[in-house]
Amino acid sequence: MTSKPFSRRSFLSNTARATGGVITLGVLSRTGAIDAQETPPFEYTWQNLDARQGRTVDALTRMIMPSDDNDPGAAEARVIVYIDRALGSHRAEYKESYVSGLAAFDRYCQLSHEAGFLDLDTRNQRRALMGIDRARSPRNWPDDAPMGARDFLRMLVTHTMEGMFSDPSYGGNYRETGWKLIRFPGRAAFGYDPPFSEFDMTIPEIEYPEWKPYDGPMKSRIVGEA
Amino acid sequence: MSLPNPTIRRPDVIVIGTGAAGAVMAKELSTKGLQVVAMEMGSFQKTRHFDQDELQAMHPASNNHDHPNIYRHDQPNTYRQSSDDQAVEDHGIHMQSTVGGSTLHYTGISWRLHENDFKERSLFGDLDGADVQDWPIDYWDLEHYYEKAEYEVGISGLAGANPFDPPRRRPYPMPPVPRTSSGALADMAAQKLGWHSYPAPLAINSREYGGRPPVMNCGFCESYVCTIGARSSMLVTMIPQALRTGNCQIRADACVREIVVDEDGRAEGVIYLDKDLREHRLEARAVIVCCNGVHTPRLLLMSKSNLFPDGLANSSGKVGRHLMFNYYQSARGFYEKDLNEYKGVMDSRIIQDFYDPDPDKYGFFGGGVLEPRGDGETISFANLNMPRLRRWGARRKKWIMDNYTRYMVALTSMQSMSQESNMIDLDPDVNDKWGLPVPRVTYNVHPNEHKLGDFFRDRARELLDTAGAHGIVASPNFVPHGDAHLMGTCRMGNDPATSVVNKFNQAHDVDNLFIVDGSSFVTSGKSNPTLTIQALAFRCADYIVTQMARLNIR
Repeated sequence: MTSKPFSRRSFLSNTARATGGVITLGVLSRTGAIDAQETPPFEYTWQNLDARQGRTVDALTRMIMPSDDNDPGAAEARVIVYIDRALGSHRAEYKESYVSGLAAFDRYCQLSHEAGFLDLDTRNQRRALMGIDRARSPRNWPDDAPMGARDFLRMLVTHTMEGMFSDPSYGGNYRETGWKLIRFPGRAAFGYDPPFSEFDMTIPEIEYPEWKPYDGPMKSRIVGEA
Repeated sequence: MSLPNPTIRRPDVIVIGTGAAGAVMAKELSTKGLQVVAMEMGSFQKTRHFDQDELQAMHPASNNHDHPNIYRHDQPNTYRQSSDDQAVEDHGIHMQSTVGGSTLHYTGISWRLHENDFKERSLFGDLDGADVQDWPIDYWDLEHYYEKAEYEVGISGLAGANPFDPPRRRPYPMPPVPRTSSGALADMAAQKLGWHSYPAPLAINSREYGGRPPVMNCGFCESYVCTIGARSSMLVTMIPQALRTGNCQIRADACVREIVVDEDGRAEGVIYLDKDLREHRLEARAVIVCCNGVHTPRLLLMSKSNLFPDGLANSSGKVGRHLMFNYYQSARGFYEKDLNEYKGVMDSRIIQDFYDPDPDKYGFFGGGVLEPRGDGETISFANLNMPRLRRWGARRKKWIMDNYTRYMVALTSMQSMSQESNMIDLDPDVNDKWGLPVPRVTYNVHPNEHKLGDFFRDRARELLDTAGAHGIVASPNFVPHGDAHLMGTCRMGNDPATSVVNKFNQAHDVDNLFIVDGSSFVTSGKSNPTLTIQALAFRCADYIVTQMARLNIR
């Protein structure tokens, strides 16, 4: 675990406070439906990403699934915790892609926007992300990067959605934030009884004719019977 | 109560595979007093070892394919579109290799083939570039066995509801399961369109049956193992019944690499590898291969000998040929109100109005069915590819929030044409974890499939639109690399020169070798082959018992 110097601006824009390998993540000053009681800042020790990588991924997930005044997003679902933990377990095969992809992305930001991603303001961070969401890698994406720009973004998006909507035991979807967001009540241990919606409640069942045994010649053949 | 699993050293029969066919064979033959060893390359799990974790089941780590919850990538294969291409690694073949096979996670749709399915060549003629043949059996050879499968496995449904159903002597043993929202919308649309929507016959309990509980409508059905045993999978039906006889041993984590023959060319037994790759030999009076349409031909092709230099039972050269899937197309419809498809079974209604339309009138051969459905998966939904919608950002988030509870899918499933050039053989370069060559899939669609695809995609749109969808997204035609429906590769026929097994699933070349699974199919049907596989197995078991009683099989 390493910690790298970072600017005050990135501190503010990412609402993440790092001390050594421990980071405090959370929503520090937001208004609206999510109150600080529900998602208090929490201390988190990086397990697989270093602090700069972690803060960059955290910021990216917040742009992929943004929070707003009404609804929580990746921040409240603690998607970053999911990704950092996953890179040491069921997504360990992507660890190298994160390291090299983040380095390439930072280089791209330097060349295109004259600062590393964490040092950009929110508007330019969003422009940087839009800049790599295209079929062919943009001009400033490093030629020697092992993965293309869009593949890098796809990987981040896929893992962000996993962190939003997977079982909370994997570290994301904190307190089922993601599931509540889409009104999925969670895995139901005892299932459901109908009606399931207004549709199956109100659309009448078709009246089928009563079944009568086939009255044509039954020609069923049974092996071993004459 | 724990079940016996006795060690049987000299069985009467060896059954290879414990899925839809193998488990039926094991149960039927052990019940008749034969000593049976059923071999399974995967592990022997209990239902409690599974759960409905989408991440684990649907988005597994590539290095964790041995987890029992994962079926999609369990057995690697390679794929090429034509024999001129170099095959590349692929995971298109879907099969679960744990005891119970893919019946552990299938949708469970269990209809009977129609009378016409067995004689399409006679009824509809030939099709250029395809090899459509009649089956050597007809519907009446299977009717009794369909009924037996429905009652012994446990199928819920409503007899008489589908006007296109073939004749039956008895109704289903259970009424249908509760209708889902997508089923209700399908009912409404079908009535407006003059189509006939009917309750899907399902291998899912609607009431307590066979000591198992009714469906709980949990919404994680297809692709997930039923944790309460309401799905009539082999693991909770035929397998425990077989073990209870005391005449059957399930030998799991045992990968058969060769069926060996004696100097007269009769099957003598098998050589298999255990978990630690140690080799074992097991002999029996008869060997029954039930590894379905990909792994059955692969095992026969691996079983080379002086008498069978091209693979066992392959004097015709047809082992592995005529691979068929069920081609499919789907459309997704979005609605103004909640459907909540995270509740209920995956598929509660079916429409068969276009099962076998007149080729002269419609311009294509064969037909298909509509299977309206939905599920509760959240991660897969969030990642859906949608036209004109970025995969990330505020608009994507709002779209997920607005639509997760408000969509349904109109899946259409249809016939694949039998083509000799579509095949399974042994990959010359790639081996699996057992050190054995993986199956190589060579597959291209017949142009007829894309004609069917165009027609049925339009019907899917029509259904969703008539049901009031405000937005519809449909899939384009494609060339499948694989499927879960794997058929045709050891096909049944009367002529040993053009088929692999006779009409009792007995190999033409080897009289104590039986091959029972999707590979026996001569044509693909329109979808959902499992009940027919089970009926073939019940029938073949009767045949083996009578042959053994008459000492035709020593």
